[in-house]
Amino acid sequence: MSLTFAGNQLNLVVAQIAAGSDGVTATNVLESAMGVYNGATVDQVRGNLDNITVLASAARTTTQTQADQTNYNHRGIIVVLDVTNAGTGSVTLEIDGKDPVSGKYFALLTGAAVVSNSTNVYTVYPGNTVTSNVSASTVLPRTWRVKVTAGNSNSATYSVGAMLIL
Amino acid sequence: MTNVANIVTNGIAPPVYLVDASSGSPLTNTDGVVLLASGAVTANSNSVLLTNYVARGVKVYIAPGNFGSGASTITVTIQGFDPVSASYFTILQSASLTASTFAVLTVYPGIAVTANVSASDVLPRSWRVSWQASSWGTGGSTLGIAAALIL
Repeated sequence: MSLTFAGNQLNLVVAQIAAGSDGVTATNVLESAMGVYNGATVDQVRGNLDNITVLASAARTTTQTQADQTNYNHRGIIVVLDVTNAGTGSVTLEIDGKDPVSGKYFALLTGAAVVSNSTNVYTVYPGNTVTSNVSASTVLPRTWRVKVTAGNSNSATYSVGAMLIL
Repeated sequence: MTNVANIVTNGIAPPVYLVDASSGSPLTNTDGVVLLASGAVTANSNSVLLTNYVARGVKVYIAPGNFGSGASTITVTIQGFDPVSASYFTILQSASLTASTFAVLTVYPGIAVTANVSASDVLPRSWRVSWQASSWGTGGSTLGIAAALIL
């Protein structure tokens, strides 16, 4: 497809590619976006996503509970808890699913208490190796959140990032 | 053709048709992704940060060649990257590799787990490989690394 402007005229040229072709030059293909019906409306289809800030790096002394998040079309998630100044604090990360009908949350994966400076990776994905407090072989439901529970009232500095995987 | 990175950055759904590694391949497996062009390596280093648009896993092909005199064995590590904390984390590390011994690392959910060979895990959106040796030997050691992304 090309878009050119000549004089006062805007020209749009769209190449047509026969179905069943492989290896077609990318610039000759008209892209169309997919949507998925969610029971009420249509959602965009996403690719793998990262750089999702659950909690920006900061010193905290209390339990942090993320607002409900929507998983449109991903199967699982990787969450990274990066503790840069643990001090005498203690934090435990939990990835929760939610049943919107009852409003109840349920833990998909709960990490171990982190009490030292460290980068901690938690994975929820179907088929993954199951490691207690680290990874779970299950799926991420449409509504989810991350909760970081403070084990005491001492300050700890950390960030939480998330990556959604198809 | 709109670049996939722009599409996803702008929150627009990925396209139905994409065909090559240079622009991302949402609906097709991709191989021939060169992470390290074969040549003499003289120091520990890593690939550029790569973007996994829609794949679940990866195969990394490691092709050592001749090693320099005095070189040690080498290891190759697949790392994920968390952009929020700017931290890298290990997904899978190879065994100690010797000269001219081709090796394959596989990361994919649900596969059989073999230490230093395969991991039942997913590949995050941002990832890279790194290569390490305690000594690359006189004149360096030949190494090439490529990847295949699997939906």
